[in-house]
Amino acid sequence: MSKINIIAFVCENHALSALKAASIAGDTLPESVKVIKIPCTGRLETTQLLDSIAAGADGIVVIGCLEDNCFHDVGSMLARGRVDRIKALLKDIQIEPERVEMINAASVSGAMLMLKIRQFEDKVASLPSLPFKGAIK
Amino acid sequence: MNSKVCILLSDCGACSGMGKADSERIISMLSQESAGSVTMIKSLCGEDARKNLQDVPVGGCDRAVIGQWCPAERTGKAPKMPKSIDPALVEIVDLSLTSDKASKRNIERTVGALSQAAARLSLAEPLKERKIAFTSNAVAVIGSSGRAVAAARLLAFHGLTTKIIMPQAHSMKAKHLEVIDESYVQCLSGIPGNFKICLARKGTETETDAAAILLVGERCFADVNPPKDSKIKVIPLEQFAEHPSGKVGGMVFIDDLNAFNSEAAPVVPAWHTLLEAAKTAAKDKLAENIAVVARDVKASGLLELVWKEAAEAGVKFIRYDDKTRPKIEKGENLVSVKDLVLGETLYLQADVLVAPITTRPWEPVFIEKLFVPSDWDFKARSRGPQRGIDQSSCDGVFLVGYSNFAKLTDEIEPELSATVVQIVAMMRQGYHIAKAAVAEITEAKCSACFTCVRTCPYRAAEMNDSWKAVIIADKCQGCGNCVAVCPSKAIELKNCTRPQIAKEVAASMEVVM
Repeated sequence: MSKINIIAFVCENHALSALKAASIAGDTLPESVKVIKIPCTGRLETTQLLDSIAAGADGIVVIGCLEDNCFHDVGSMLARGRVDRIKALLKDIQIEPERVEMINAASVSGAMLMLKIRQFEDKVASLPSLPFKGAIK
Repeated sequence: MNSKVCILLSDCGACSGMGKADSERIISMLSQESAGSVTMIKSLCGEDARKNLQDVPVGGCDRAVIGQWCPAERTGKAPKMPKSIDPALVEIVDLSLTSDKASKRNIERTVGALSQAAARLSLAEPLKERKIAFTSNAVAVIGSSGRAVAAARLLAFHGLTTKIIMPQAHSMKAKHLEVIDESYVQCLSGIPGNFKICLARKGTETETDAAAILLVGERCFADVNPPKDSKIKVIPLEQFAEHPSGKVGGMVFIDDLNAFNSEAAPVVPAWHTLLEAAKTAAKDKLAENIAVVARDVKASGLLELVWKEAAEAGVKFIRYDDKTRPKIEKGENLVSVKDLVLGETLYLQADVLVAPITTRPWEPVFIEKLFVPSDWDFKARSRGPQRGIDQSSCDGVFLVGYSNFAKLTDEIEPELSATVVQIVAMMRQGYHIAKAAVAEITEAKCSACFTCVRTCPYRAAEMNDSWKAVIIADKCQGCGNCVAVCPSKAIELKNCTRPQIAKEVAASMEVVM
């Protein structure tokens, strides 16, 4: 049975409140998504995203504040740049760039966020599994 | 570090929807993960249960993960911590994200969430937020308009020691109110509760302190006298830039409405917005004749491209100087300017006159020193709604009349009273909270590239005398933006370190595989 692992790096400000709002409304996360709380999406480095793929994640989703309303001003803008860079890197080593995605969410847009996460999960599930999965320790 | 984590899981069937068999499975799975020892505790919902948590046997553990089924928002209060454990090392995991119904999936995810938290906590440091008491008890209001005076009077009425700093002479007396007139702000430093403002006052330099600073929108558009005896329609540039409208014969953009007044002091015009607006107006053909009348057309750098496009689209640029200012012809929609190049007077048709709400020379000081968000033209603008429209990114600095752009007088009033309430609340609190999880720099690794200094949204990173970056812990808000941008990886964010994130990622993988 093939299961997929998706790591969600969630900023603890607007994105986390969006997740909480969705859960209170009865809309829970898909089972493959693991939430890792970080203070701001600007904290994430490209190496951490690559390391997570090496550690066995099939997809990575970075969830941050809206770009013009980021709690820490610049965080989600920096994160978007890094996600774009990672996509280019993955393309170079012939891994599907769709495995990494950035989602911006306002704290009230819980339902929309869940919808986007589910769409992302479907997209990742439809991709062939990574050749080195579980090989790198 | 020799750390031992214990996991306390509330046994609340009502909230979790899990039976006894499910709880036993969770315990067995967690012990397989070797995340830590598991203790079942009673539900956290009742007042007694919260007290009982203090006496839970933790068996030599120095840190604890509490799995809480009902989020704190629903139960109302956070649970009390076990006595033998440092409260800073207790992490409460909100399991409500998974608690819709008992299924295999939910059990796995509960185990995942708990073991992730245990992994993160096993490398955590006990940190505590610090309260820094205010050293000053004054509020400084900076601005000279009627609104600034009203704000200062309102603050003094609330019993706060208020200082109003304004460039012109003013004789105003009120209880708790100190007027520092004829002074300009030169520089500014400090942390919330202890700001130092350097002033140039009547030729000498003085210094004053303040706990909070209120910056009042200096020139409201309505304060400027519109041209008399004419049918010219005057539109604020900021309004025009957002909603360009027209279909008129002639449109004139002027750098400052006070250009018509021969005694007005120089101001900093909004160049970028003005050029962009003129370009848009010309491209959309909002008027047949479009002219920009300005003392200095500043079109250097990227602005040159905008200027070029505007000129190509048919905008005329006409310069004036202090001696030959433009005039409005009485009774007609005409503006006369003496062109400095041709040496003759031009008559421009002006059915619409677009003028910016110009900024004062000291506003760039604030924007730079306090990192007040600004637009292209160095005009202060307040932050987004997450901090309240009237608060800047620097705690203790409040803005009135700047949200999105400088405001009309009557638009300011509700904003002003709301801000005064916020300041009063802040001053009554009496302390500033310095975050515990802050970034730290390893000096040996720092290559003095200034990247962190440029990136920090709170201006907490600075260079010290030996050319190494330091992070001022009192200002740092723990966002970690500097950590990721540092090219030599010299910065580490406490309690969100690189090993911690790696361990958490690994822990989240293990559960499924």
